[in-house]
This record gives sequence, structure tokens and C-alpha cells, in this order.
Amino acid sequence: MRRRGRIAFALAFIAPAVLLYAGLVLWPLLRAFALSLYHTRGLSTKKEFVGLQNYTDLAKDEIFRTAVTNNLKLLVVVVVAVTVLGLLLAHVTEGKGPVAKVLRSVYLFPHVISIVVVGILWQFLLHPSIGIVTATFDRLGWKDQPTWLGDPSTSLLSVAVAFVWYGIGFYIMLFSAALKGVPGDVFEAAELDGTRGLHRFWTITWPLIWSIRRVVVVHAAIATLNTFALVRLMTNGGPFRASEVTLTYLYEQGFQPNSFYGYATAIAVLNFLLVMGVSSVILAAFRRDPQAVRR
Amino acid sequence: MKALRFGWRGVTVLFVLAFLLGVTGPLAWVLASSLKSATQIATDPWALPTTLQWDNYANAWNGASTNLGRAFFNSLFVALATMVVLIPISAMAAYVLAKYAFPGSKAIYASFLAGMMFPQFLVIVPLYLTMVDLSLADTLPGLILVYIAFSLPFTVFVLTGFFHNLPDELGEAAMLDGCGHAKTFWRVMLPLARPGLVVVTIFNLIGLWNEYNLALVLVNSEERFTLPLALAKLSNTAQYTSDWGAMFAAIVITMGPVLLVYWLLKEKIQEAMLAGAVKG
Amino acid sequence: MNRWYVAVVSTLALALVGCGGGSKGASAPDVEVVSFQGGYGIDQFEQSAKEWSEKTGKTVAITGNPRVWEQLKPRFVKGDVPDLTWPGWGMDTWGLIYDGQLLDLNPALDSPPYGATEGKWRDSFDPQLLALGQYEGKQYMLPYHVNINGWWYNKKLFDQNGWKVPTTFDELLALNDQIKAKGIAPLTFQGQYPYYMLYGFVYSWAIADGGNDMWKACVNLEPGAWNNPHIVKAAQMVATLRDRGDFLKGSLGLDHTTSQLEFLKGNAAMIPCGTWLYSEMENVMPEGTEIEFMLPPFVAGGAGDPSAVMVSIEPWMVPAKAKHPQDGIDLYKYMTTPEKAKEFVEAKGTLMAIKVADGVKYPPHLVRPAQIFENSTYKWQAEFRSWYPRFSKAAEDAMAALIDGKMAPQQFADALEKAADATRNDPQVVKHKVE
Repeated sequence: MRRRGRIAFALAFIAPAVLLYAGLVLWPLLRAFALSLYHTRGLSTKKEFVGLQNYTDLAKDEIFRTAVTNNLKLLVVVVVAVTVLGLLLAHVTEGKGPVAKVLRSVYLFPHVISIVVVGILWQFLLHPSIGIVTATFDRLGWKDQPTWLGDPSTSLLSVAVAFVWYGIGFYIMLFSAALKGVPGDVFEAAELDGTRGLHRFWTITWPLIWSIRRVVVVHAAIATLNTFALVRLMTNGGPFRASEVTLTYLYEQGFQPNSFYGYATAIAVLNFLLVMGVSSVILAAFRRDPQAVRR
Repeated sequence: MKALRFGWRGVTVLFVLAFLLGVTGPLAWVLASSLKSATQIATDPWALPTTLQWDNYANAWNGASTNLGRAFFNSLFVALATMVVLIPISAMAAYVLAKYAFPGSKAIYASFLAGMMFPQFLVIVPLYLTMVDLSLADTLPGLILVYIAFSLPFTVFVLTGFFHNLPDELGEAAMLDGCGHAKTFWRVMLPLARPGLVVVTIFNLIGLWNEYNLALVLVNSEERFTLPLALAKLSNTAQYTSDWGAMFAAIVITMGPVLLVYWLLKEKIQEAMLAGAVKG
Repeated sequence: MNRWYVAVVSTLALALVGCGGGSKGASAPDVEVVSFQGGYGIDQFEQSAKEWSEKTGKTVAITGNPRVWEQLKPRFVKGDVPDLTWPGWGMDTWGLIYDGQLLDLNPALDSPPYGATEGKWRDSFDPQLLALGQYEGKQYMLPYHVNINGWWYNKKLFDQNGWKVPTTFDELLALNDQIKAKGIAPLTFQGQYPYYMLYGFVYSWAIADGGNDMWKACVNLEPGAWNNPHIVKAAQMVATLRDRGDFLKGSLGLDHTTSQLEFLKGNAAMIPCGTWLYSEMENVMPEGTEIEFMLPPFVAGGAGDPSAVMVSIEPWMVPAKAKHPQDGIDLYKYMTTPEKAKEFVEAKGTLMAIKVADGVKYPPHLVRPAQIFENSTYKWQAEFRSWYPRFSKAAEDAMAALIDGKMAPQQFADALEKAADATRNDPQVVKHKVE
């Protein structure tokens, strides 16, 4: 009796969350895989089963290829930048001076304001007529600087800069949490050996924070592959697709102004596979604890 | 040797100062620009406001092109309504997952965990179609339901951890005192999990206040816009009406509350972020 | 403890009952009209609806929205549609036709116009423009107002400097040298939306050089049509302007409003655009601006019609599943009477695809376009932008690459031909054939 009461209570208590989650997350998720096998214009109940054709079309779709390439370019730039800068700045936050204190209180600012604000902010920082960044370059005598967001050779880079600006605080936080976790006696031992500075960093700190580096790289990679708002607000994928990413292309195909729901969902599925693939590659690269290698 | 070390120090200090300027500079520029006239904004980005143009805020809040005030209240309503439902149902589910093993409970927990892994966009098209089927597309209640569902994984994950760490004896003692399962939860366990509740509440509120992707797809009438949507639209119209001042004011209005909350609750927020990051 | 329960349940209940989406009035109206709400607003349509309602005793509900298609799409899917609609530029109207969502209006066109017992409503429309709304012999879309595409020039600048409006490409090049000597850019364009450059430069010049049949072959995607010598020549003309530095620097990065503003400010002397430019920019026009419409300079010795002009229509339609299609049609008949057309022209300053009552007073900026439209013996269109979105995207990308110097004229034409080829061989794309 008691036992059955337990189960009944458990089921009743967990039901609201499970029902909402199943109905609005898991069910659409299943629907997504099915939907990507259909052709639809989203203008009537007509839909035509086409098997894997959306996928084969995407394989031939040059815009999609451009978008994936841009995604990967962004990924490399962002991952390298946040790893290097994040780690350097995390070291600084561990310090005791006033600079470290100020840094500790502001470094997360960019990350807590909305990504929409970040996108718009950077659009105007780089604006050819009112932007303070462009104005500053101009004062410093750079007379023919590019129109950052309007020039196909610089638009993706501008997005990457904004992305790093937005994300860096988060990674500083992760690294500093990791650095706090490095046991003090390790450093004491190093002091006795006379190992200091950069050398100490390379031989002791770097290997010890291996697991957090893995978290940072995977996290930054996934976040980059799921970039949408920043690109949409800063460049809308332009000029002429120079900064198109998979999700902005998905949005164009699914909602704006087309409604090719099957095709858009196929893009979503491929983007998901790309995320999984890239994560696996990174995890494989980080598979062996480097400390084992160095000895 | 010493000189070299000093050189390194100098470089580091310069680099850190540059970073500080990079973080705070843009925010300060927005704040300053929000009090300038449109002409002043267009002539010299570096200039400080001469006369403070508080009108910019009025124009942004209740202007001809965009009604940020309404969007502000929409966002507030959506965020609060979401929390009112989300927190209790997540706490209930997390409590059960932490303390009551039953056939299938592991699978449920795993499916919540999986929900933190896959990208939102994977379900965005079918989600939109589901909302159309339910006649909830382009409605705030629809958006609230979606927000609840999409916030569940993280919230349940964090709270399960909290409940897990509460000793079982507490619950058993309450049961011996004659409380039922439910009463035990509401009277004894939930109050004990307050630190966890605070963490997920703050974290979710910030996330919802800033949410753009789902709102963009699910809401398309202007009177139902949330703050990020209204801001995006305003920045678009500001391009050709050149009402820059109102746009910068709108940015301040949007990010102000979040920065304030962050300033007050730094540690809690970092705690929540770390909890979410190191889930892998 | 129970406070939680109460709070949860009451919020959910409130949320689900209150403020629902499809705000249906207590009694459904006889006619529901849903319209795009752009630069022209919907007040004229509201006025027509009010008058029609008084005349017929039927109730009309009319709503407008700048992103109206987002609301209409799910309604089409559910079969809950208005009785008359102008769904705006974001709607794939051809898709609606393929999916059988629109009513064939031929029978209605053969019936008498509003308030008459004889004659045909069909005769109210410009036949060339009516043809743009046909598919497989059926008439699904009816035009209302019409835009023509060409160039605008800064009349004040031209008058001050004694510049003449160029009628040929050679005159244009000579003029550009004079403009540049004054430190002004001859041309700017809406770089973020390359179709403005396709319409205003490449297509216009290819048609001027190659003539109507060449264009028909292009529109019908005939093999070899898109990399013919005339397309290459037109692309070469753009490349010439590019290499001479005749475009305002940084135009590629500008959106439509920003580039149009540069033009209005006098930083560029000419810009390709449609007749909507005036109403689109009216609110931000600097004091004392005088601008005038012109046809793109012609190609000397070209086989085309010098009076050729590009047109685009803003179509209205009746959904196939409309509850009161006949009332929707009758209301549209009333909107298309010559008097109503005249009122629309005078209120909004646009050209019409329907007969306008005599004595209409065109606003100053429209006098010239009206003459051009009136005197044109060849009206061409680029409706394939909505038929073949993939082809158009490729054309736009190539256009941007050409103007950016990343593509040579021949490469540009080959890229278009390649895209046309892909569309031609794609079994899923519904093909159109113009005669």
C-alpha cells in the first residue's frame, strides 16, 4: 500500500513537467526527423514524401556549403581566441591588485546582456557614419578602412570579433574556476624546483587544467555552430552570403520569406550532425590526458 | 633578466587595460550616446553629450515607430508567468527524480539531460507547426508554454542535484510525523532547497529576458513583441529615420535591468553558469 | 503550500483562456479583408470598405500588417482564410497558386464591373498587367497599383550644373566625368539588395541591346539564353562604370534606405529604383530636395524598344476557401472603379494598373513616370524572381560579385546560365512559359 502510494505520488508529481516537456520538446524533435523527409511550401496541408531528397539537394546547394564553411571559419577563430584570451585574462583575475578587482567585476558584462543587444551594439560600433570604432580608426589615420559589415572580406571577421566579445567573459569564468582548483602545494613544489613564470605555466598549469580546456573548446565550438542572432542582426548573412551561417540560411528557407519547412528542417538536422561530429572530433583530440605524454 | 620580466609585466598590464576598455568602452559609449541628440551622434562619436537629451528615453519608451514600453511589459509578463509555473513543476519533478526511484525514472532524467544538448533550431520548425496546430502561434501564452518546456532541462538538472544532496532522514522524519509525501515536499524539502531555487530563478530570468530565437519565430505581431524583438525592430527603423538617440536609449533600457541584477547577484549567477557549463 | 497550487493553476488558466491569438469578434463579418500595410497604409482601402458596406448593407472587417504574410500562412494551412487579400511581398503567391489555394477570377472578370449591368470588369485593367497574374490560362491575381522601375536623378543638382539627362550610355559616361569633376559620385545603388542593380542596369541594358525576343528566351529559361552576347555586353557596361569609379564608394554595403538617403543628400547624382522611392523616403527627405524619374540610358544601336519599361504589380487575390468569395470580389470591383482609382492616385501618388477617372491630378514626382508608362510600347517584367527563387538568388550573388570586381562579365553571364540550367533541370520547380 505504502509502496504503491509512493509510486502514485511520484508519477503525479513528475507528470506536469514530463507532459510539457514531451509535448513541446520531444514531440517536435521526433517530428523534425520526419518532416525533413517531406517537401512542403507551408501554404496548405499538401506535403509530398521525398525520402532523402532534401539532403541530397543540400549536398548540392552552394549557399549551404558556403554557410557551413563560414561556420567552420568562425569556429576556428573563436575557439582559438577564447582559449588564449580567456586563459590569459583568467590568470589576471587571480591577482590581488586593483586592476584584477575591477576586471573581476566587469568581465562578465558582455555575456549577461542579451545577444540581441550585442548584435545591435556591434552593428553601430562599426557603423560607417556613427560608429565609434570606425571614427577612432579614422582619427588614427586609417583613411581607407573597409566598411566592416558591408564588405564581404571583413563581414565574417566582424561577426567573429563580436562573438568573442560576447563569449569571452564566460570562458574567463570557467578558466578561473579551474585555476582556483589547481592545488597550492603543486606550486610550492615548483617554487622549490625553481620553476617560475611561463615555464611553470607550461609544465604545471597547462596540463592540470586539461579537462576545463576540453570543456571550453567543446562549448565554444557548439556555441559557434549555433550562431544565429548575432549574424542576423549584424549582417543578415551578407553581403552576398559572405557571412551566411547554417542557421541564418535555415531561417531564410523556413520562415523568411519562404516556408520550405522540409528543407529548413533538413538544414537543422545537418547542423545538429555537424555539432555532434565536431564535438566528437574535439573529444577524440582531447582523449588522452597530456600529462601521460609529457613524462 | 629583471628588465625582461618588467617588460612582460608592462605588456600584460597594457593588454588588460585594453581589454577593460574593450568591455566597458562600448557600454559607456551607448550610455553617453543615449543622451545625445541625433546630430551630435552623427557628427562626433567621441564627444560627450552637451545637453542631456532625456527625450530619447521617452521616444524609445513610447515613440511613433516602436513602443518599447509595451514590449517591456510583455517581457516582464512572459518572464514572470514562465517562472511561476516553471519553478514549482521543475522542483516537483527534480524532487521525484532525486528521491523516488521508479521504473523509467532514469530514462526521464536522461531525456531531460539530452534536452540540454541539442540545439533549439533542431526543433524550431516543427515546434512552430505544433503551435499553429494548437492555435497558440503568435500568442504570449504560447510563448510562455514554450519557454517553460525549454527551460525545464536545465532547471530540473540543477534542482535534482540540490535535492540529491539533502539527507533522506529529513524526509523520513517528516513522514513519521504524519505528513504525506506531498506535504513533506512542500513543508520540509522545498524550503531546504531554497539556495537552489534562487540560483535557477535568477539564471532563468536573465535567459528569458534576453531570449530572441524562439520569440522571433513564434511571435510576429508587434503588439506582442518581447523586448529583444522590439529592440531589433527599432534598430532597423533607426537606420532610415536616423533616430539614433532613441535607439541607444532603447539599448540602455534593455540591458539596464540585467546588468543591475548581475551587479547585485554576481556570485549566484556565476554559480548557475558554472553548473550549466560543466554538465558534460 | 497550497498557495503554490493556486498560483500555478490560476496562471495557467488565465494564460490559456485570456488573450488568445485569433481574436474573433462576437459576430463574424460578411467580408474579411487582410492587407499588406506598407508605405501606402490601408486607409484608402478602409474608406472603400466603409462606402461599400453602406451601399450593400454588408459588414466588412479589414486589417493590415507590415508582415501580413506571417499571419496569413498558417491561416492558409488551416483553411481559415479571408475573402480578399493583398498578401504583400513576403508571400509566395505562386506557391499559393500551385497548391490550389486561390480562386480563378476569370468568370468574375467576364461579369460586369461594379454597379453596371453590362460590359466586362476585365476592361478596367491594363491587359499587359493583367497577364502577369495568370497561370495556365487562369487568372489568380488582379493588379491594383503598379510600379515602374528605372532611375531617379537629382534634378536640383542637374539644373544647378546645367547637366542634361543622359539618354544613351555614351552620354552617361560623358556626364559622369562632369559629375565626378564636381566631387560627387555619379551613381549609387542598394548594394545589399542586388536585384535593384539587376533591374536597373543589367536587365535594362540587355533588353535595350537584344530586344524583346531575347528577353522572352531568358524568362522562359531557354538553353543558352542567359549567357548570350547581350547579357555579356550589359554586364560589361556595369564593369565599365565600376572601373571608371562611377559608383559611390561603399555602395555594396548599403541597404536600400541608406543608399537612397545618400542620393537624396546629393552625395550621388543618380540611383536605380522604382516609382515607390518617393513615398518610401518622403519622411526623411531633406528640405528642398527635387528629384525626377528617368529611364535607364539606352544602348545606342540596340535592337530593343527605346520606350521599354519594367513594371511590377501589387496583386490582390481571393482565397479558394474563402467563406464569401463573391462578396470579396464585389468589394474589389468597387475598389477598382475609375473614381476610386483616381482617389488612390491622388492620395498616394502611385500609378495604377486600372483605368483612372478623367481629370486625375498626378503629384509632381509622378508626372514623368505617368508619361513614360503611358507612352511605353513594351512593358517587361522579372516575375521569375518569385517563380525561380534559387535562380534569382544566384543571379543576385553574381550581380554583387560583378559589381565588386570579383567576376568578369563573361563569368557573370556563365554563372546565370549555370543557375538557369539547374532550375530548368529541377523537376520540383514549376515552370512558367510566357508568350
